[in-house]
Amino acid sequence: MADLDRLMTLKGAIAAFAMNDRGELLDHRVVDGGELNEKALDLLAHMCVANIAIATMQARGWEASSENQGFYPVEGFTLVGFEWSAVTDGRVGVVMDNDGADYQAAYDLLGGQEVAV
Amino acid sequence: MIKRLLALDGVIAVSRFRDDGAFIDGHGLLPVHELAELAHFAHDYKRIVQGNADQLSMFTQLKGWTPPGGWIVRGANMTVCSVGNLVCVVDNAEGNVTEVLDALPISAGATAPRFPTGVSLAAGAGRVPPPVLQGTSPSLRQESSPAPSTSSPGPTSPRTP
Repeated sequence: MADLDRLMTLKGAIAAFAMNDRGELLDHRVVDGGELNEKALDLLAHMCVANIAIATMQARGWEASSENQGFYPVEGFTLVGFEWSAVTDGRVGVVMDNDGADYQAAYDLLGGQEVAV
Repeated sequence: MIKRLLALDGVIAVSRFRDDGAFIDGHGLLPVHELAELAHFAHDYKRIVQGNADQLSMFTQLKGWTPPGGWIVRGANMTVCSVGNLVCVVDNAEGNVTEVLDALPISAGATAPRFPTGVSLAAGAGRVPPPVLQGTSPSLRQESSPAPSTSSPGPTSPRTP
């Protein structure tokens, strides 16, 4: 099971979540008093899965039509929003406040995560 | 100026495109036609991400997502990062995406990193009006302008005094 509590230790983390391959929320954490809730995270997870699917198509086509490699399979998607960023890798994600967000640290931590579906 | 991005560890290519998706220039290890394809891909994906972020805001009534400032797609060995009208390819084994994401808007001319440069595609549809709808966003004006955009994506971040 993904260690969502560990993801919440990232600087600026306001939520962490696990999802299945359809984007349905399996588990989540949110900071006390935060704006994000289960319903919002479920939709966010669906959006991330949708964007990964599109990027996967593009990566597949890019590799097939050029000599560039290493893009497929797409493992993660990050939305840098106006105030928040959602970083996903595999079936786990974390939402961070943009101020001081360390995306590399998030990917490093997410890279070691697995989620039970 | 965007050539400076190549000095960052792991950055192997960078491309710049206009608001209408036309390729402006690119640098790095890829041939020119592939730098142009990278720009085309990034422009298309940017629009998709903007649309999805708008809908996310509309459905959740949360303003924290729009307008989006950028996106990252992380592949098995390569990562593609984009902010505004710049996109770059980073080798996962050598690069640090935080450094790249901080440098991208500065290379584009912004005075503050992670400046939200996106444009709301679902402008009137959202029950939560994205800040770009305030009517003063230079990026919105650029989006509708036929002229090439090679300058800054806009003023300083709202969180920057």
